[in-house]
Amino acid sequence: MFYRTKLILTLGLALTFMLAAGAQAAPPSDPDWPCQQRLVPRLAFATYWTGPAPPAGADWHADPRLSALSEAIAPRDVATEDGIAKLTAFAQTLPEAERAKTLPLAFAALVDQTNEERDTVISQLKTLGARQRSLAKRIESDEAALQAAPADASGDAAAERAGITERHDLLVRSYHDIGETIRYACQVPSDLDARLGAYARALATQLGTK
Amino acid sequence: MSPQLKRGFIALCYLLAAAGAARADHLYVSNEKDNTITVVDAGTLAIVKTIPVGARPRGLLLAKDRKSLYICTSDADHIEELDIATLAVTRTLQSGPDPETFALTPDGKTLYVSNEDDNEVSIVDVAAGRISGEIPTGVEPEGMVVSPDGKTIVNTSETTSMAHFIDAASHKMVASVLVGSRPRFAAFTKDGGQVWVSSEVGGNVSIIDVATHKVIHTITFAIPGVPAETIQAVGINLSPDGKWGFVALGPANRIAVVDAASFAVKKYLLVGQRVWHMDFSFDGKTLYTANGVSNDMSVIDVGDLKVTKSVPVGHLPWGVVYGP
Repeated sequence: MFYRTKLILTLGLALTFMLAAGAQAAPPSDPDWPCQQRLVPRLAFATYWTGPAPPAGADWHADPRLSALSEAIAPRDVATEDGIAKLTAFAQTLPEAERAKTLPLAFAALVDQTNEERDTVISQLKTLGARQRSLAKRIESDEAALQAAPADASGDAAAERAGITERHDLLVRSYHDIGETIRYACQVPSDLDARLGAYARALATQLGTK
Repeated sequence: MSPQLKRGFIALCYLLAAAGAARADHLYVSNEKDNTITVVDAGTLAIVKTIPVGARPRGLLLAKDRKSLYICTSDADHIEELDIATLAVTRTLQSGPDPETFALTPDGKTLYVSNEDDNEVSIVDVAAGRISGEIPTGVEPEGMVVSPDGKTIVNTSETTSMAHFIDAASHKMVASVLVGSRPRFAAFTKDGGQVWVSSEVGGNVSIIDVATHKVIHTITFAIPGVPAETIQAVGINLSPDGKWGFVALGPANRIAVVDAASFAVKKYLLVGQRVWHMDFSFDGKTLYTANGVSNDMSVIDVGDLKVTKSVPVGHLPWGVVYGP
């Protein structure tokens, strides 16, 4: 009785607060984004960088060295320490006077290329998220059908029930499998974010701004 | 006492005093992914020890006598007590399910723990290590703080976006104040007159006047070139001299330095990635931050308002506490 009273009280309080909080509800998020962390669609240069700005109007695409560098170290499978080694080696080929101009542009190239890598992963994650939502709806509908069908049915009704049960179990397995894939894949945008930050710090060290 | 014995005794006293002076303070960092606490020497910033603890360590608190550290081991569903002298976990305390953050009463005898999954705050008798009561609160309780006089408990609830004021004597809720979306952390000013509440999704800090339970100001943050959705306010530490409020802005990788009198943002400091929680040294001259994505701890000189060092720790650092 005590626990029932407590449950009612807790639910009542929760409902009261939820109604009161309606005015400040969280902004709508993408329903297909399946990860726990908030979706950050694009990584931005200034989030990582307080060093010198790239020269006004400069475009890293115009410098073949920067295209080659970013193509070499921005792909997902490049380990952070390998990327940092290549980045440091590149910085040290530059004359001291050129570093403050070229290294911020190099970071701009890395931000753009990392965003391209992230875009692919985010799009794949959203596809998985959409599939999960659709699976959840189908599981829910099968569960409603199973509740409506009597467990002691015979003949065609029993065969139909068995068919729904088999499909339901298959859907549940798929749901769990995709859930596991999502769990691992959600780490990828965060890993790319971490590596980009490490690149920014390595460049700051080369610039002497760290 | 013979003169020889007396000289020996004096020499021993000097030695003991020197040994005491040489013992540096330490930083304790909870590594959510590694299930460890990293202990860092505050003088040399070298890692002294990495201590395995229960699953998913997050919230940390130093006991009032500074002899032990309480650790919310969230996935182990309990609190662990680490003995500072031996750096060993000596006992576990009940916490209710999924403890993430907690607060200690000024007398050090009671812990209030937010239990996100069942919309309650657990009251833990520290000496007995057992739950002595529960307080129903808003949906997904998160931030916990006790007023300096011990009379008021404030708990934030993420889903309802409120700060709940609870009378510590009766455990009755006396007011619920609407703040920004997904409130994560609450801090009292030293005089107990204001509570600062950070909102992760709202990306702001609400200043609540304790006497009237009204929001008297909302601090907003804008960093040129940094996307607004990455500005997620979480940890708040008010400087012991009452001059500054330091607000951790999560994936914006910044600490906002706020003038505590005017509420104006004076500066943004670039620290490690996804900065959540912080702590001051005992003298208030240094601030340390736990950075969850870059797996490091940043060191801030409070006088100069400059980041001076980055110290690699474990994976997914969540909180940091300064202690002996």
